[in-house]
Formats: sequence, structure tokens, C-alpha cells
Amino acid sequence: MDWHAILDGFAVALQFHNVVNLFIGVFLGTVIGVLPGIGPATGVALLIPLTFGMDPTSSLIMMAGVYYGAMYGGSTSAILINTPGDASAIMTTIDGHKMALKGRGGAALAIAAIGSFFAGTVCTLLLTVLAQPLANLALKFGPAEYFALMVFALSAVTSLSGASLAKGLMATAFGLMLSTVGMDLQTGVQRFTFGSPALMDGIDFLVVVVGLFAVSEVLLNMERVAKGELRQPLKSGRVWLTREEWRQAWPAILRATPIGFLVGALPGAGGTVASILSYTVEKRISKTPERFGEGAIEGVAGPETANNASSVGAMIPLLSLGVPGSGTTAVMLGALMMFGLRPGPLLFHEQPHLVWGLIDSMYLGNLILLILNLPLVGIFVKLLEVPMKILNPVILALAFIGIYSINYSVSDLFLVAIFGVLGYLMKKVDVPTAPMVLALILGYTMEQSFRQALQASRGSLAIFVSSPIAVALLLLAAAAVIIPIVTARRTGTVVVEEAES
Amino acid sequence: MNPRVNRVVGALGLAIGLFYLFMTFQIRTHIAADAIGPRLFPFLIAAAMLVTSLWTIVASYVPGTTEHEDRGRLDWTGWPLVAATGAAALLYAALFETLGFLVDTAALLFGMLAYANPGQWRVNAAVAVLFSVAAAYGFNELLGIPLPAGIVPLWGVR
Repeated sequence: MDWHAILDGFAVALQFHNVVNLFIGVFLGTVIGVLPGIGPATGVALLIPLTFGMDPTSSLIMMAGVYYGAMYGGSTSAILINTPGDASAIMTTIDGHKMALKGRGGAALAIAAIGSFFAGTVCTLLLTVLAQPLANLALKFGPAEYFALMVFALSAVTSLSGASLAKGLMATAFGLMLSTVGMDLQTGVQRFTFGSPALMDGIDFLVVVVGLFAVSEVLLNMERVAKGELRQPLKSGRVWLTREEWRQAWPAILRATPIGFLVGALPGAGGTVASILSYTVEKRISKTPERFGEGAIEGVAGPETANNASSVGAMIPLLSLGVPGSGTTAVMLGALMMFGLRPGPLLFHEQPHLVWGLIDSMYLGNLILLILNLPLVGIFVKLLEVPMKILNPVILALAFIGIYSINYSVSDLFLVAIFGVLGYLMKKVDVPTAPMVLALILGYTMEQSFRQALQASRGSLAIFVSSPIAVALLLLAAAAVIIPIVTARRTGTVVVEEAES
Repeated sequence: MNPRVNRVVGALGLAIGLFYLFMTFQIRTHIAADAIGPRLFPFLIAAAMLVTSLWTIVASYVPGTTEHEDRGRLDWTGWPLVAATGAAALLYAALFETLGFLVDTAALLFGMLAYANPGQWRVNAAVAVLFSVAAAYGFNELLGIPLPAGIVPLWGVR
């Protein structure tokens, strides 16, 4: 390990202007993450024009701050208003919002901040030590392994997302259908666009996420208004964690950290898959799985820790391979190229100050995240005091603004309204929405991996069982679907109701 | 959920799957640059949708399955308000650029609040106007995200 370069990196990260940039990045990231529909990728993309005048190191330090700030901020809206700020916070809505409903919103936000800090710090240490060996491991993943990974991720979430596995699989298939809308990049052929230019680039997953989660939640609340059932302002309760909650959450944080880091290091997998896997693991090993979906703190601590761990892990393929590990690092890759830099193994030799300055700034960034957000927990929890009948229309307006700001497209506003109604109907008839959203997000990568693998094997399906990694992942995927059928437990055992109170 | 609803859901899934399959066959393949082509993956998805939809329908007839459980009738009593909110959302989208963010958003908020929080028109008006102004200023001026100005050209794209 090059200690000299690492210490030089600290000298760069601790320069006053870089500390200020980091603070601004983390703060902006948290605010961006809290706003439904504006995720870390959009936040970093919005920041790029503002950082043109800066040197590349300062710019990247600020962008990384936005990244993990937004990863944390996404949990806030997931917990308080049942609307994930970005896709990786979807799993947090399941138990986080239930905790808020029970007056434990403050504890959920606090454990999200603590888990994020712990994961961020430990994973930055791992990044410092293991960058090169982990890059070598990720290099072993070919298209067949990626396809198997995607199949496993979808199977895992489908098996957890509702009482009816068949309806969960239907939702997954529908999400995959949506992922195929738009121009096929390998052939230039338009698929399922019905001649509409608005659909040429496909359906933005944020439009679907915000429609299915935020808008449908508003519709359900309006229904409760009509029936006179709209709940009273939520109880803010005690902000800090109880001793029992600490006892339950810590093991989840410890387990989720390596899961998130390893998944984040795999190009393309990202925070969403990390948080799903972490949630799955927590529920599977829990002695009281029936608490999941009803406000289990492990259901918040695990996914929130995992998605922040993955944001650090995602830096490995970005910096060492020049391959983005997530949507946000894809934007950062573009920013690096705009600065005339070539991400890849040579970057460590050509730009050691930049690479190690960025990595070392993450230690400080995670500390800033904790210091900034723990005092804000109480303020965020105060949001719960606002009556839902007033908060409801405001959520709808925020959802529309967030969606419009992605592409400045009125078509997206129509789409988000349509997906909102669809989400409402799906919730009424117990079709889970989470598998649909995740299939939409993973569908593109899944199809590309599938086609690349078949091209490499000249059409032979044997390629998907030709490596131990792919076989293991496919067996796990099959187990995730078959075990619930075989056990055939009729009531409540595999039910993780989505955050659709 | 009751079995009848699950049968309707399954039937809708079948219809969507068949339509998607039909559209898959409409995809042009003669300019395909790769040997696999743009049809195969959608074809597999269509097959998955058809199989799972049939599974839902068949299971709804089999006692002991989740799909056969009768958890009572669906409650649609709130549908007029839900439909009105959905329609308001579509109207908001349609008028977004014409009226501009400020007016369109204030109108949407005031309309929804008037129903959800009746008799409090001052509070409702204050929330509608203050939120719209704060959001317009914040997005246009602080975040640099231009929103349509419309008929009140205070901030944003005219």
C-alpha cells in the first residue's frame, strides 16, 4: 500500500477550500435526497455546470459529498412521508414509515444517520486497503454473471414483496416490459414507443417511482379524507433510540456494511440491489420475521447502511476500472472525462492527488454527514406535526416539481399522474409495486447482459451455467421463488407489505 | 383480496401480456446489428407475464392458496375524490406551461386543501401561495432549476 500517496491525499482533502466544498456538497446532497424524485444522480448532474471553474479534485470532492449526502437524505422522505427520495431508499419505506406511524420516526432517522456514518467510514477504510484486489474480483464478472445477479435480485425482492407470489411475479414482468420501452441501443430499433418522441428515450424510472409511491400515496390519503379516516398528525415520539432498538440495530449495521460494499463494487448493481439484499438477509435470519413490514428497526438499519456502503463501494470500479458502479458514478465518470481525465487503473499513477484526495475526503465527509444530520433529526421529525391533510397536497406539488426538473418535460408530468393512478389501483388490489419498480431499474442492464452473454456464446444458453458464480446466483434465485411455494405458508409469513399504509 | 378480484387482475395481466406479445412481433428486426436481436428479451418477458397471469387465475380457484382467500370486498367508496384528484393532477400537467408554475401550483394546492381542510380558507390560501412562491424562488434562483413562468413572470422561463 502506498502510504505516501494516502497521506498526501489527506493533505489535499484537509485544505480549507476542499473542506468547505465538501460541507456544501454534503448539505446540498442531503437536501436533494430529501426531495422526492431528485436523487443523487440528478443532484450531481445539476452540480456539474456549477463546478466548471473549480479544479477537478475540489469538484469531485463536492460531487462525492452530494452523492453520499443524497443517499442518506433519501431515507428521510422514505421514513417520514413514505416516499423514497431515490430508488435505493425503497426498502427503507417498508419499515421506516411504519416506525414513523408508531411514533419512532426520530429513532428511524437516527439509526439511518448512524448506519450511514458507520458504513461510510468503514467502507472508506476498506476502499483504501482493498481497492485493487476488489477490482480484480469484480473483473471476473462477465455478462452471464451479471444476468444471473439481476435474476437473483429480482427473485429476492419478488419473494418478499407480497402475500401472492404470482402477483409479485406479474408486477416484475410488467416492470421489465416498461424497461424495454424506447430505442434499442444495440440495433437502433424503436420498441413499444407507439411513434411518440417522448418515449424514444424510454420511461425514466424516477417518473415511475414518484408516481407509484408519492402520487399514489396522496390518492390513498385523499380516499381516507373522503371516508373520514385520515390519520391525525403522526406522533413524533422520542427522537433517540431505546436500548432495545440499539441491540436490534447494531448487528444489522455490521452485516449490511460488507454486503453494501461488495454489491456497490460490482459495476451496475448499486445501492438499490444492496439495500434489497440487506433487507432480505435481515428478514431471513431474524427470529421474529413477522416484525418486518410492521416497523422493525433492522429493516431500516440494514438497507440504509447497505446503500451508503454501496456508494463507497461504487467508487472502486469508477476509479480503478473506469466503469460506473451506479447511476451517480456514471454521471461522475462523465464529469471526470469533461475535465480531460481518463478513469481507469492508470488514474492511480497519473493523478494520485486526485484519487487519494477524493478517497480521503470521504472520511471527513461521513463525519460531516453525521454532525449535520443528527441535530436535524428533530427538525425533520417536526414535519410529522404538520397535519397530513395539509402535507398531502404539498407532497403532490413536490413530486411534480421534482419530476419536471429531470427533463423539463410536461410529458413526464402526465406520466407521473398516470403511474400515480396505476399505483393506487395496484395497492387496492394487492399487487406489489416494489418489484415493478426494481424490474424497471434493472431491466436494461439485465437485457444487455443477457444479449452480450448469448452473443459471446453464439446463442448457447449453456453460458449461464458455465461459471460457479453464475450457477450459484441462479440457484439462489430459484430458491427465492421455490421455497415460498414449497413451504406454502398461507398467512402472513412472507408478507412484507410495502410502505402502503 | 377476494378470488374474483384476483381473477380480474390475472385477466388484465393476460391482456397486457398478449398485447405486449403482439407488439413484440411488430418490432422490426431486419436491421439488427447483433445476432440475438431486439425481440428475444421482450418475447421472454411476454411469456413470463402470460404464465404468471394464468398462475394467478388458476390459483384463485384452488382452495388453500393466497389467491383463493376471501378477505372481503374492495371498498371503492372514496373513488369520486380519488378520481377528482387524479383529474386535477392531469389538469395541472396540461396547464403547467400555460399558466406557469406559480399559478398552476397555487391553484392545485388551494383546490385540494379546500376539500381536505374545509372552512380554513385563510390557512389554505396561505399554504398554497407561500409554498408556491417559496418553491418557485428556491428552484429558479437557488437551485438554478428553471420552471415555467407562465402568466406571472416573477421567476423562471417565460
